[in-house]
Amino acid sequence: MATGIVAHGAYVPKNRLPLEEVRRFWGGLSTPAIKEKAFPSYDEDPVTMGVEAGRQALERSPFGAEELGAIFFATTSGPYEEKPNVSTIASALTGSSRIRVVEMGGSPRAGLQALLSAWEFSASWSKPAMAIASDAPIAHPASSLEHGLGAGAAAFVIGEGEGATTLEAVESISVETFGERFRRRGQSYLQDLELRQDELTGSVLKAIEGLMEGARISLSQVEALVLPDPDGGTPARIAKALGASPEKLLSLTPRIGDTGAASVPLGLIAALEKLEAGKRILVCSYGAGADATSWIMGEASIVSRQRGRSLEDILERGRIRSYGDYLKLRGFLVQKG
Amino acid sequence: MSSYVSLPIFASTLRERYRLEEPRCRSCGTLNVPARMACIECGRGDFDWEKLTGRGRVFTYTVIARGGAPTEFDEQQIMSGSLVVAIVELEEGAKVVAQLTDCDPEEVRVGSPLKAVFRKLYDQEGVVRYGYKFVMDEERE
Ligand SMILES: [Zn+2]
Repeated sequence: MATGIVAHGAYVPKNRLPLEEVRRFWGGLSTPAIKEKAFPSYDEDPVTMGVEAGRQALERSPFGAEELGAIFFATTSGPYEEKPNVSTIASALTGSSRIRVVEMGGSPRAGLQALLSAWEFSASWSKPAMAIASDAPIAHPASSLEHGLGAGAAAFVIGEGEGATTLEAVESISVETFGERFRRRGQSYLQDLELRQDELTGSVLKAIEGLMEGARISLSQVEALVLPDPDGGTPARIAKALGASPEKLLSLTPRIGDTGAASVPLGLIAALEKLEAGKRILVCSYGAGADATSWIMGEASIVSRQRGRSLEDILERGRIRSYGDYLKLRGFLVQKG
Repeated sequence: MSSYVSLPIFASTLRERYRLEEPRCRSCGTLNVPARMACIECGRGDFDWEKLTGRGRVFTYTVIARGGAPTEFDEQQIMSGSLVVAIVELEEGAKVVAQLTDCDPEEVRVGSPLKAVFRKLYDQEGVVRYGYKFVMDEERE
């Protein structure tokens, strides 16, 4: 039996802000391809969203929480810079303390990195592992970078199982970047100097082309493409450069905003909830370089998606909020100290 | 006014707050919620911990207007206005007091189906306190 994804779960906060509200308030919108974004309520953060996504994955999993050997957690916006956020998640998911917990961050790329690490852990030690990517990236509300930022979480149980969705190939690129999406220690808000170097397209193309060459895959053998999508338009641009059909693209960004480290993993879940067994999914994430991966959809993911609430159902059950509610619930107006 | 819970006391109840596990008496089978040293029904002290389903119904509820909650909820009330607190009758029969979240007070009814979720309770002494709240269970509407 092969090691792969045997169950998945998603969480998207109910709160939705139509980006037309942002345009009305600020007189402009930096991400017109995003229609709505999801945002956490006053009592939600990447830890609570991660727990809920993790619980859905475990409800669908052939392995129980106590069987997990590790949890890899990815976020760029956890409530603590020191003190592992993942330990809270582990305590909420399982009563067992005999578990390895690893936290990853640094860029939106962390989400797919957590999934890869969970796969590598599981393949090395023949034990099930979990990957959770949960994020609510935050920038100053007066900055154009903030317009498209959303929130959500994705979780995967990886293990040896009949019909698992298997990892076929990986290609990684690392580059140094300057002034692109960063946040210094102690700072609350993301910054971007907008130098328009477009490292993203270059790294992503390089990683995907390397992957396809190494694994001898052609674009015609790819059924779904999940690409980094900070603005609702980047995947179409990359697909054009690759020569891929835009119908193959899967991204939730136009509906829930840029969910940071959770964005690409949520796109993968959209593929797992849609494809037939045997189809190939190409998944690539970005952050000072890129990781490109290819997966072969398995029956286990079809079984998983039939249990409980579907991703589409979660997406449809949003509740529209005003821009004023957004500022309040997101904590922008709370007086500190 | 604050209903202060010290961090060590809070830490000793994590199993209940984080995973909704509660002790069932080995002698008489009563589910003790919240956990106690001696069974509320028969007074004995041997328990088996059980993971509850988190499904329940509104037994009764109250809406606390802005400023009416203990001080640790001040920040929440600034952000959300009034808050809804319910006595929830769990599927297993026991009752717990908890906040309802993601819902408008007008949509709550006695008997509404609920589901436990993991949320931030409040932030105090620089430490985030997490635990369960309840949301309307849309799969059982
Ligand atoms: Zn008893």
